Amino acid sequence: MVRYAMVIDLDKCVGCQACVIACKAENSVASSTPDEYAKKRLTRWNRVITVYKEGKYPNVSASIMPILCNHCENPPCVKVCPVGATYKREDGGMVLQRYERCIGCKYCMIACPYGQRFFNFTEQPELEYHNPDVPGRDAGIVEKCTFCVHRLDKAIAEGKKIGSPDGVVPACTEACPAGTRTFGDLDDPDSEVSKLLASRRNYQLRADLGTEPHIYYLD
Amino acid sequence: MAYKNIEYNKIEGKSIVYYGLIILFGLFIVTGVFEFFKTLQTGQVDLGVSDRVPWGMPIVMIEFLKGISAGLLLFSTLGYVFGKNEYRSISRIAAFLAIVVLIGAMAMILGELGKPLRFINVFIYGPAYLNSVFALNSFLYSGFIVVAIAYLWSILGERTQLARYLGTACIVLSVAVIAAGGSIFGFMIGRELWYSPFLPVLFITGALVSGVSMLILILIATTKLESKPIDEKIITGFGKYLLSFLLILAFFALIEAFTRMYGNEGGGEGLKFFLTGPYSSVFWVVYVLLGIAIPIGILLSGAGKKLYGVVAASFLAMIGILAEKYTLIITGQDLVQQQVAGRAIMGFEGMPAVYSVSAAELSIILGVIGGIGILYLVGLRMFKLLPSRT
Amino acid sequence: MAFELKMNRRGFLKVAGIAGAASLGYLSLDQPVIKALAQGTYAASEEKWVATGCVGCVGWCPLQVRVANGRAVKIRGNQNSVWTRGKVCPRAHLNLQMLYDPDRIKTPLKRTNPNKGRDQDPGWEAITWEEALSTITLKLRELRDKGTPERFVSLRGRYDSASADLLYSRFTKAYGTPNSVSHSAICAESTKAGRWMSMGDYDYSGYDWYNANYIISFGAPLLEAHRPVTGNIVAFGEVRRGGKARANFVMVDPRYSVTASKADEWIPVNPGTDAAFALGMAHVILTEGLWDRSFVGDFNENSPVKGFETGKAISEDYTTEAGEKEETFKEASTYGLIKWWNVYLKDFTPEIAAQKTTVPAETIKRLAREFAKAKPSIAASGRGSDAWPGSGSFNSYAVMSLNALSGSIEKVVNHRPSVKYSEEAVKLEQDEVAEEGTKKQKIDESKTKKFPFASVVTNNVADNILRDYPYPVEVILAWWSNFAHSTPGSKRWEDVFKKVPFVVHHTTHISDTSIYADILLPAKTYIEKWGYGHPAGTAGLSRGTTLFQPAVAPLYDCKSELELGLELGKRLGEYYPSINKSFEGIGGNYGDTAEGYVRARTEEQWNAFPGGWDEFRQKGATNHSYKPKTEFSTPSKKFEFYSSTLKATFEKLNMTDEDLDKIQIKARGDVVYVPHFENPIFIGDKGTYPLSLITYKPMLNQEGRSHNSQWAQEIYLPLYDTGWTNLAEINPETAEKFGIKDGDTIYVESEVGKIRARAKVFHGIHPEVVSMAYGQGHFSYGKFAKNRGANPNAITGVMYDHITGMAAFFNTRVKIEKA
Repeated sequence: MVRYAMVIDLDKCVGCQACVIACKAENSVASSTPDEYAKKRLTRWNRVITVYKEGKYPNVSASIMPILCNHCENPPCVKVCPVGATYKREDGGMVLQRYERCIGCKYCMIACPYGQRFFNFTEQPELEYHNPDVPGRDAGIVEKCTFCVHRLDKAIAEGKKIGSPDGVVPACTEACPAGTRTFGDLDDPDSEVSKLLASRRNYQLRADLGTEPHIYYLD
Repeated sequence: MAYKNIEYNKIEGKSIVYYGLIILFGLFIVTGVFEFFKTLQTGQVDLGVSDRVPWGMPIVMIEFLKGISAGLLLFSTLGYVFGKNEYRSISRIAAFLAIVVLIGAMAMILGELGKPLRFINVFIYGPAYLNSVFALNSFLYSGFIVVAIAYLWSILGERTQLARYLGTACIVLSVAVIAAGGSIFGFMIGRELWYSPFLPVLFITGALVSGVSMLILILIATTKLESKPIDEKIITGFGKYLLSFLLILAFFALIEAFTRMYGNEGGGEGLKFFLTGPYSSVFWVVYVLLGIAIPIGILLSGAGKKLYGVVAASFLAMIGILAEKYTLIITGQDLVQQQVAGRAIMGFEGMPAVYSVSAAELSIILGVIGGIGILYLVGLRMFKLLPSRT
Repeated sequence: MAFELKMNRRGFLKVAGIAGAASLGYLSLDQPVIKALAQGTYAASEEKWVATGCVGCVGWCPLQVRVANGRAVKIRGNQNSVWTRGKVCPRAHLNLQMLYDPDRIKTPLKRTNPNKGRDQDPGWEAITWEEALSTITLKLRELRDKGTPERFVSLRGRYDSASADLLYSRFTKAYGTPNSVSHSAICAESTKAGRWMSMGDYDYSGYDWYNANYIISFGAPLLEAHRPVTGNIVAFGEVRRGGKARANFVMVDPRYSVTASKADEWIPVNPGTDAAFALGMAHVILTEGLWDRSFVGDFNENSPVKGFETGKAISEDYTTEAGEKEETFKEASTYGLIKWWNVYLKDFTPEIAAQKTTVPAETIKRLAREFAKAKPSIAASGRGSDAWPGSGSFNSYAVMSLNALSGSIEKVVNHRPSVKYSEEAVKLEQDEVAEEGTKKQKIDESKTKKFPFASVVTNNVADNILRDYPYPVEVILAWWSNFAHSTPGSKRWEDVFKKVPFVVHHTTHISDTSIYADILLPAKTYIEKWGYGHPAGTAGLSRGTTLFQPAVAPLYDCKSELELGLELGKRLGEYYPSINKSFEGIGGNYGDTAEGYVRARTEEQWNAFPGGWDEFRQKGATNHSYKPKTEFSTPSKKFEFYSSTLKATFEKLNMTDEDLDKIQIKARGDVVYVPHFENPIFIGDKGTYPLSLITYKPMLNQEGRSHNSQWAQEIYLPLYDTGWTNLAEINPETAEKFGIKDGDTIYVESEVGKIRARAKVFHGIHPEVVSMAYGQGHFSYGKFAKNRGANPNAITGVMYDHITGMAAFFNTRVKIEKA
């Protein structure tokens, strides 16, 4: 079975945010206004955060890291959805959202330990540069990273290869100028992700929670 | 036996106060319904919630109302199931109010959903997803209401034996509903302040406190409405219940805090946020001081034996439980979720949202309160719920 | 396809989704994402990737734009480009939001309110291009007919090579004004100076990261805002984990920047003391014998002196037993090492460097050893080290010298290869008026005693216009520039635009400059226009050229700068034969259009493709390899530690000690011509203004033009995860001293002015520094850009690195207080 995963090499990442914007463009993710930003209504399927330790000048330890939906093996968000709008797809193992079934109870947002689910407070405006491959979002539903499933499914239908280094990958992975991200099948021992994970020490975000994220980080 | 001689009455419902209340509650409903349709049109843009705090005051109220409802139903069974016959007289009113309040809570859920018109999905798809506490709850609530109505019907007709069985079922369902309410939060591994098997227990204690307080207040209010003074012994008796539940609650709250102080992820940032963060004044002042300490003080003092003392304590305890739900639910969401253990997060992702209740949310809440109020008032006129002194 | 156009997109998607579900079977309504398959869905109905380029900075990166049904919906790096590895930096993606920005200027506008000011509504009235251009032509004719064409000033901002060649250079020359003013002197001029002083070419350096083992950056924000951004990021990933040994990266900066956060070591120094650090390292490299023998050479075998000893001068030659004079030190590819040592470096110990920089001497020594031993190493200088008054060029020179000592020159620190475009189809003609006009003193006083080697002194233009020196200015054509926002002391430019009687601004948004304009011309965004370019600086050994072509039809009634130049040339050509000759037939065989011009100029490039022009259009980029230089453009043909280039420039101008004083150079005699340290000069006294203001450009700033893009604004400062504003960043110690808490609103005040900003307390800031991101604080640039944060340029004082005319950015002292 195919289980997609992503490996993010933080040693390469420069915090440029190309992934953030590429994701917004690819998935027609709504942009915030200053007012929405101030209210913390900001949809960013993919974003960079800075984690740091308090210290005293000049001893600074702060590092920028990109985060996105972890597409957990054991996703807390899927467990809590009362209508099965959120589900883990068998084929690929990505955690997806059925927009047309979601009732907007926001329980999944509560359940996600990573803050990777976003609510549509208004109907998403239709803009010229929106990607025609992804549907617009109504007010009142929750949305999230899809691992660019529309790209992957299109590739499958067209018989293209999927996964780094030369196959079809999610938009963030494609856009990363530093080659920070590697995408591929965890179950394929010859995939780039499997090889990277076998060769270098890695960790997942909050692995202690038992969610078994499919996003791996290399330091 | 004395309880057999209790007479129950409908109220006349012709007073100015009665109609005044109907109009007031009606206005509440209009406000709520207006806001509901506006939200249907524009989305939840006017609500105070955010991606950081997706659940706001309506959810707090839902949990609060559920607690009251379950508490009321439990007290309603005191006479018929537990044999405390001195409390039989209030069984009808408590059971009726429990039903009305839970219907209100369910309406509030509808008002809070992003897509209320898809509510039916819960019943279509829900059975396949019972691992979701929400899906489970929708069936628990329905069951609760059906059984509670049956129970009410049985006690209205003084079918004692049947009431005993149905009352037992009510107890089970009440506990289940309230425990499930606690589980909604307690099962969330990603929420440091919630993740605890203790929450269902805490919720049940809270339900008992708010249930008995509500009962005391509503009995006083209703009898005032009809100028039929109630037996003070019942009220002071409930005061004793309230005192013991409050003491248990205080004890549980203390244990919860001690556990967090003893060992905590991220060096106790969560507890620090809880006890000193933006919502801490509600916790300390409203919950701890007004909601627990002062009522306990009143009930322990001489005032605890007086009607006014018990009423005051009940009122404060109710507010306290609301504050408890508020601080727990809002603070629990707003606490920044650590991503890399032991590392703080900078800026936007690392700072709390600071939720405040919006007018829109208040409107929805008012609408529900209006609905509960009108249903209750109408019920008083339709059914023989009120005991009259014999 | 016709029916699609009548439906809105969402409606069509539904139909397509249902149709797709029915026909393909696997697409049900429960699928979360409607899949765009080859047939039956909207997406594939008309879709293509168009090759074009980004004109966001001097990287001019090749792009591919995904165009679906005539709309640009996605941008990525051009897969055919080798030097960018098919990638592109985040700023290129912003082009989508800029292109479809509803706040763009949609048609030429005319001011109806004669009063100019921030608070004045210009009363814009839409006019036609015809009216706009004939008004401009008329004004230009008036000036020319008066015999004062020099009173026309062209202010260039962001450009591509095509518009630079045609509008910046050819048009102004044919017209007859010397006053083509670019933004270069608020950008990188002093960083070019190190290369110019040592190697004679006044240009950007290219760093070959791929072959480097060690990179030390002195104030060059290599991973945020240092050209070419894409190249740097791509290379960074590669050198860190590309398979070879992982390169070490050290960042010297008073501020813990994004770049510093990615470095292995962050060395905070006192502002303006980077050169001291570099010279301390140079001293160590020489005294410890760590220099690269093959590039620098070595002591003569028989010389009595065998090494460099602190404080000891070395005689340049010695007498052999046979009585012949021999050089003590035989230099290989360098010149003047012993002189440098004797006149300056012998006494500049790491201890002195430590005292200037506050970095422990031990650290300087350690880094010097690491740097010299880990060869090939790169020492990069940038704005942080070089945008300093008086000393900027020398700072850049000092850092460049480290590259020579480690033998990195033309190994990993490379020159910028020149790219040959085809000759313009017609020759530039100048009539008498033009000849006389262009011979006049340029308004920025470049190449005078005040600015000895400057090719442009952007910021000085404002002062000179305000004092009518050397002559009054009557017409300004500003294009893609926004000096009322982007220059230190930006307020002066507002006065300039108020004062000059006729101001034309050609731009995409009604910017801070625009609101003072008399005529506003709508400009095309990057992916709507024709052009070409090649990156400034490289990040590897490959390089290339980029073709810009319209990916989508222009959105509004806009013209590109190239088209504006062609139009003006044509219109003035009707009156002046020489201008007509300079512009008629400029497109060679391909017509006098923007496309024709670009096609004619890039013939050299597209002829290399078997498919010619069409293939070039389809590929969008060319790739070339790098040829290292073996000799340099200095009089000695060597890398000079003693700059005869600078000396010759000064001698030609008869610079006296007094003149040196005036241009804020404290060194005297031979020390002037060697890499040396000049104490930083500050504006404002330390008693009143205890802190110094340093500014920086975040990645998504895109030269101040991205601020109406929500994508850029949402994540403007990634390190602080802060959007929609900039911050006054201070050290916790400083914050405590001034009673300021994180998030407080504070005033930052200098001698020049006062701004309000939100305080950020972070322990990664030098305790004597207030650090602020540049770019915010627009008082006009569209609804999202307006009044967000504060513009630090408004309170930055005006000084220059006089040798190059580069504006100083980091030497303004400020005080802070709680608002």
